[in-house]
Amino acid sequence: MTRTKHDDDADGVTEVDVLIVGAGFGGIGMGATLARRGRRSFVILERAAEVGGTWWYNTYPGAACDVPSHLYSFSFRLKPDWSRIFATQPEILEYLRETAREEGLLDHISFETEMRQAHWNAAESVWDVDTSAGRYRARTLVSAVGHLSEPRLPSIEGVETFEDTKFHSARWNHDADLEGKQIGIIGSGATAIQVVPELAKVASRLVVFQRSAPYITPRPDRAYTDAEKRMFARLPETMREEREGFFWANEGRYAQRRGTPSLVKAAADVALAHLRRQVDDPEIARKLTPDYTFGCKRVLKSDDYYPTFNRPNVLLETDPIARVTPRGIETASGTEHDLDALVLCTGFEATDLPIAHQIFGVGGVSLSERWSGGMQAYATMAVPEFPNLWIINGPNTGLGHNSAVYVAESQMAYIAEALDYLDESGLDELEVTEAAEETFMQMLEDTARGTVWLDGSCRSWYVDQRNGRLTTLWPDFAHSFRAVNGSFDPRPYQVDQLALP
Amino acid sequence: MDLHPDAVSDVIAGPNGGVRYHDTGRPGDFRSTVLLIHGTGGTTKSHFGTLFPMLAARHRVIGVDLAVPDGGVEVGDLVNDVVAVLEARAAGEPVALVGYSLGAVVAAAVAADHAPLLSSLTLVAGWMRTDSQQRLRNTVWRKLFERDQEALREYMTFTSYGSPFLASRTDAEVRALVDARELAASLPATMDLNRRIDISAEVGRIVTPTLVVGAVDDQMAPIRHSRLLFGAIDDARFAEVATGHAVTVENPAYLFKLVDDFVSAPSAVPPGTVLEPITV
Ligand SMILES: Cc1cc2nc3c(=O)[nH]c(=O)nc-3n(C[C@H](O)[C@H](O)[C@H](O)COP(=O)(O)OP(=O)(O)OC[C@H]3O[C@@H](n4cnc5c(N)ncnc54)[C@H](O)[C@@H]3O)c2cc1C
Repeated sequence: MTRTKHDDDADGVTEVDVLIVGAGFGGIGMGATLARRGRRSFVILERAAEVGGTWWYNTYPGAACDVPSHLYSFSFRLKPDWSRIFATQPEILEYLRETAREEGLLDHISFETEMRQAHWNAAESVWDVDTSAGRYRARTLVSAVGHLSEPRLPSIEGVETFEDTKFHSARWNHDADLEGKQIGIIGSGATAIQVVPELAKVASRLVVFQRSAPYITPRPDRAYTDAEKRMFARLPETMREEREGFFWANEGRYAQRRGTPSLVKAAADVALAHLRRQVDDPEIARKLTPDYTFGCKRVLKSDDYYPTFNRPNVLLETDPIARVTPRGIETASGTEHDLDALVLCTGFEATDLPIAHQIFGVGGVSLSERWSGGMQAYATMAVPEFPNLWIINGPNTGLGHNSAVYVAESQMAYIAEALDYLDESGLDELEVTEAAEETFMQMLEDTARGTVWLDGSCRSWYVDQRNGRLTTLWPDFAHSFRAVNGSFDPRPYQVDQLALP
Repeated sequence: MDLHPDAVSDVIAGPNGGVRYHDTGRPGDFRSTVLLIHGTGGTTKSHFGTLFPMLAARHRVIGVDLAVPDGGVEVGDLVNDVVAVLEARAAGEPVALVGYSLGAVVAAAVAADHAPLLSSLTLVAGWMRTDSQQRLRNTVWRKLFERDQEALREYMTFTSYGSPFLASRTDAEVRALVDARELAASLPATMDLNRRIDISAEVGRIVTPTLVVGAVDDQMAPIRHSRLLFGAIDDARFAEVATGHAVTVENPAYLFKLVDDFVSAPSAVPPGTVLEPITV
C-alpha cells in the first residue's frame, strides 16, 4: 500500500486525521463517506488480507444475507444487477471489493494490520495507536470492528479434546473433506439454518444439536430476471422503489415486536404454519417448535431448513450435550454420537467486544472497564472520557428486523458532520457529557419497556446477561434510528468554552 | 379487543345511538392524543390494526367505530358521533384528528365546525366531492352487491389495493385477501353516502394545521382528490405514499412516520409545503 498521503515522521509514526479500524460494511462505508466529502487524510486498518469483514470471514456453504440485497447495500451505491433477492456471500463480498476499489479506498487501507492498543493522548488531543504494522497518531479514531465478528466458542466440557475435524462456522475449513462423513452441528441460530441444508447433502449422517428452537418464517427468494436487472439499470427509480418497498415492509413487521398480542400471534402463526407445512413427522415438528414469545430472539428466514429434517440421514438432537469426547458427543441421557467432524455454529461475542479491551481513554481507563456494567454510548457512537472516538455498529445498533447498513450509514453521516464541526469550530476535541449519555440511555430504556425482548421468556444475545439491559439492540423502528442518531448536534458535547451558533 | 394491551373499549351514547370507541388513555398518561377515524366498511381494528399500536407506543390513541344505521346516514351524523367521543373522552384537550378515506371526509367536516377541539388534522386518501369516476365504480359495486357477492369481494380487493402491491403477491396470497374480506352490514348505506359526498363548503372553513396524504395508486379516492384538498385548505401540507387506497394495510410504517412527525409538531413545516419523500 502507499503511505504517501500521510505524514510519516522520523519515529516511524504515521500521522493521519482519521483512523478507521475495520474494513467491513462499516469501515468501507465510512471511508467512502469521507472520500466523497473530499477528505483525503484517513487510513483504514484491517487485520484480514481483504475487505469484507463478516462477508470475508463467513464463507460457509449456504452463507447469504437475510435482508434483501437491494436494501442490504449502500444507498450511494445501488446495484442494478443483484442476481437474487437474497444474494449469497460471494456476491456480497464482490460488492464490497468493488466498492472499495471504485470509491478509491485501496490506497487508504492497510491490510493484515491489527490494531493492538489505542491510547488517548490528552496533552496533544490525539489518539496514539499501536498496530501490528507500526504506530499511528490520529485526531479521530473510528471503531468499525463490527458486533458479530468474534466467534464465540461453546463452554462445553471436553470440547478441546475432540480429535477429528472441528471448526467454527466463521472460520470454515474448506480443506476438510466432509463428503460421506458423520457430522455434528452445534447450534440452531442464523448460521446453522443456512449450513444444515448444505451439509445434509454431503454428510452420511448429520446430527443437529439444538438447545433452543428458533422461529423461522418463509424466505421469498428468487433470481432476478435479465429484464428486471436492465430495467433497474435503465430506470434507477424502479430500483429505488424495490429497495424502499423492502425497507417499509420490514418496518411494518417491526410492529409485531412491540408486544401487541394480536400482531405477535399473527406473526407467530405464520412461522408455525410454515413449520407444520414443511416437516412430516409430528414429533420432530414438536421439537422444532419454539418455547418462547415470537420475536424475543432473532426471527429467521428459510425455506430449506425445515425440510432437511425429513431426510433419513438427518437427526435432530434436543437432549442437552453432556460432554464432547475425543470421538463424538455424549448427551445428558447418555446417548453417544460418533462423529468425524464437528461444526460449531455457536454465534459471536456480541456483548463483550474485544476491541473494548484495547482502547484507553482519559486517565488510561479502558473502554471495557467503563463498560463493566454493559456497553453504552451516547447516540450509539460517543462515550464520555473517550474524546474523538466514534463507534460504528456498537451498542444499541442491532435491529433484528431491518438492514444493518441503513443503521451504519446513519452513523457515518453523523460522524462526518461531527468532523466538519470539529474543523469549523477550531476545537481540538469532542467529548460527550455524562449527562447526555445518561439521558440517552434513559430514553432507550423507556422505549424498550413493553417490548418482547425484555419480557424474560427467552435468553438472547440482545440482552446483556450482566445487567438485564438491552445493550445490543435498537428497540425501535430503523427510521427512528436515523431520526435520532443521523445528524450531529454539538450541544451534548463539552463545548461550552465556545459560543454555540 | 386485541387492538392493543392498553386499549379499553366501550360504547357511549351518541345522538343517533351507541358509538363504540377504543382508548389507550389511562390516568397519569399525559401524552398527546391521536383520534383515528376509519373508512368505508371498516372498523378501527380492520383499518388501523397495525397503525394503532404503532401510534400507541408514543401517543394516547382513541379509535372510533363509526355507526351506520341501515336506514341511511349523512356526514353530519358521523360528525356528531366523533364529536360525542371527543367530548366524552378528551374534553378540554385538543386532539390530533386522523381520518382515512370516508373517515377523512368526516374528519374534515369535524374540523370545519369544531376547530377548538383539534390540535391538528390529517386527511389520508380522502376526498371532498364525489366525481363521476367514483360514481361509476359505485354503480358497479351496487350491481355486484345485488347479483354476485363473490365477484364483489374480488372487485373490492382489486380496487382497494395498489396494483404493485397485488402484483407482488402470489395468487394464493391474493386469494387470502379476497377470502378475508367481510361485507359489513353497514356497507350498502355507506356506499350510498359515498355517492353523494360534497363537503366543499365545509373544507373552505378549516383553520386547523392540516396534513393531506394522497396515495399514488389509489383507484377509489384517486390522488387528484388529495391534491385538491391541499389546494382547498389554507394551512395544509401535502405528502404522497406509494400505495393504493389501502395505505393503512399496504404501508402502515410509512404512514405512521408521516403522522407521528406531523402530529408531534404540526406547524414545523410551513403551509403549502410538499413533503419530500422519505428516502432510505
Ligand atoms: C452470517 C451473517 C449474516 C448476516 N446477514 C445480515 C443481513 O442479512 N442483514 C443485516 O443487516 N446484517 C447481517 N449480518 C450482520 C452483519 O454483521 C452486519 O450487517 C455487517 O456486515 C457488519 O459490518 P461491520 O463492518 O460493522 O463489521 P464486520 O463486517 O464484522 O467487519 C469488522 C472488520 O473489522 C476487522 N477488525 C476487528 N478487529 C480489528 C482490529 N483490532 N484490528 C484491525 N481490524 C480489526 C475485522 O477483521 C473485520 O474485517 C450478518 C452477520 C453474519 C455473521
